Amino acid sequence: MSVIVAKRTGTDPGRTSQHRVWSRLIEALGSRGWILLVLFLVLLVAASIVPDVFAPHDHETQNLRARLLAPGESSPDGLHLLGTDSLGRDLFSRMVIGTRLTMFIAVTATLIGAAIGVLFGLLGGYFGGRTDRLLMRLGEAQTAMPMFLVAILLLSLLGPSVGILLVVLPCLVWPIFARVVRAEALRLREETFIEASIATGCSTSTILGRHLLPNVAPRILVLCVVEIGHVMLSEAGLSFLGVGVQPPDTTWGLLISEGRPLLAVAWWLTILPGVLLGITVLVLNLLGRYWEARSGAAG
Amino acid sequence: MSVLEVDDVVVEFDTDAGRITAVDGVSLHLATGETLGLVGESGCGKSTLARAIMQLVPMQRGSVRLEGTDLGSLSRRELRRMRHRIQMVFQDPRGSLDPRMNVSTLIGEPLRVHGIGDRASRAKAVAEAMELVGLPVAVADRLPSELSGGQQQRVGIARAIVTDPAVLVCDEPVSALDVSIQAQIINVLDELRDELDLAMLFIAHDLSVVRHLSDRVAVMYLGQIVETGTASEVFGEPRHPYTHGLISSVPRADAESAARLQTARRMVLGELPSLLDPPSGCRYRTRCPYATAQCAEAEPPPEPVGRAGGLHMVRCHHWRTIVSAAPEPQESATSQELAI
Repeated sequence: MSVIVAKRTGTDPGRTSQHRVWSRLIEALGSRGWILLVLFLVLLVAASIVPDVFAPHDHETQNLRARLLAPGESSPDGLHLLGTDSLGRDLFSRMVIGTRLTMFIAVTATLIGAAIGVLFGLLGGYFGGRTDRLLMRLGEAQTAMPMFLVAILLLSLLGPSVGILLVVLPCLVWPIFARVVRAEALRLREETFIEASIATGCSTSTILGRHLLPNVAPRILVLCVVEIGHVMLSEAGLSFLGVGVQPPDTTWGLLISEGRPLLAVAWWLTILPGVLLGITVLVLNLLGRYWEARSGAAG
Repeated sequence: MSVLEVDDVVVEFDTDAGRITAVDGVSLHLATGETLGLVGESGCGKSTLARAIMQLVPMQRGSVRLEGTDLGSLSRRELRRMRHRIQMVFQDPRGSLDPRMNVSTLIGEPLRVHGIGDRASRAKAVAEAMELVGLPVAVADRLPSELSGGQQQRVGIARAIVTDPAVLVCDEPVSALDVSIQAQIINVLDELRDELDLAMLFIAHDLSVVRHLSDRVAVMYLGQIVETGTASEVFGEPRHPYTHGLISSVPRADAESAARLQTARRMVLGELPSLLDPPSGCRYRTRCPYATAQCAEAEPPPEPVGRAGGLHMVRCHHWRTIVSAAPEPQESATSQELAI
């Protein structure tokens, strides 16, 4: 309760100024700007499905004579738009290849987290009482724990693998879904149409699945888009620390990590994947917030 | 035979200010094809009674028997399976429809959740229900927000009758609608009742609407039924001063002085006492021009009026001394004042 009050009164100046930046950015998008954002995401999805169409070079071909070429330089193989790494592999091609695993992990982990969070949120919000308290405390405990450290511990104990990332990363996001869905469910269960469904003879599962869920679905979708970006960042962080994705698999986070020792001589290996990651997270955030603002104004 | 028997129902709520008794020992019964009009001011417990009958709020005491089955004794699952026999039309037509379901899904839902028929027969039943309530086929794919208020309530009614229930509880089904639409919806209910042989509990605060539809009428005040009888008895020879007040702004009983009648009028239109602290004895005494010391001491028991074996019952110590009089034909004015 106190949390809700604090948020409503907006006593947190950090939050409000952050909010203002977002609304400025959304304003700057105008009415058509979101098409650009969607286009960018479509390109990313296309790159993860058919990377060969986008990659100018084979991402695994090493060429020691073309090591650490700066962006725009050429080797006998042709132009290296974003330069090459210490083994002479084309950075742009590696970024394109890395898109697939980056996207796969972020989307899958977000969906798993969303499924858990939505289920818990619906149950807690609809039933209230003890169920609600239990589920919400669970979420708070989860949020309070330094999940990043727990993740590092888990991954170093069990050995890094994509499978374990898909266990650890959903843990980071489900409480967020649970909180949003619970708040919506709390509001909706007071609506007459829920009472009408009970009077009609709907079972609890029908009410949760066919009445509450469709009514929170738009919020969930928006949240998914935003959270994919956050999960992407977390995965990059874990990979950067060496406990995430392992070579020869690659993700943007791993590229950043691999480039780090060479930062002084080949800035592009770290900066460019970082910029791509940053832009992607920003685009996802903007799109999510844009849709939220739009639906909020319409409803 | 009564298809619905409500016996001594008590509903209490805990509020921040304390415990209130919203429904205090209400009994009523309904036979097949019969309509009981339940009237009373806002806040007198009409809607709570409806929800108690529908088992949507817990009862502290009493029983609701539907076709002989005590609904309170059923498990949640058994109760859910019984619900297709008793359905409800809600006051807020838009709010009672899921905003993300289209009209045909909404009307088909009761059939689906009760597993009645297969897909094809359900579609047919939905089409029939839509025709019965006067919804054009073209709206089948629309969302509630794309319908007019009258159409929304038609959907609400279609949902309620599609399972062919024995009892229909209508909780102020027209009070949220434009006056011009109200008559149409009333007519729909009127036709359905005859066609489907429904037992109907019709709750309203608009007397003219109740008078048009009801075979019998019950007048509710502060959680209790203060007078009940056939429509002609209650409207023609009201015995309870509150019923007088509802029917006519000027009760002609004991017309001693104009000032007293003015008092009567003002009192009826005055504020409802708090349910947190209901008056002792007769609950109406604080607004009643005929109140005496006896009214404060003892709660009047329900007493039969008129012919032996008749249905006319009143809860008033002084009903014998209050000469009944036919109300003036000012229905529209009366109902408007009540609405305020």
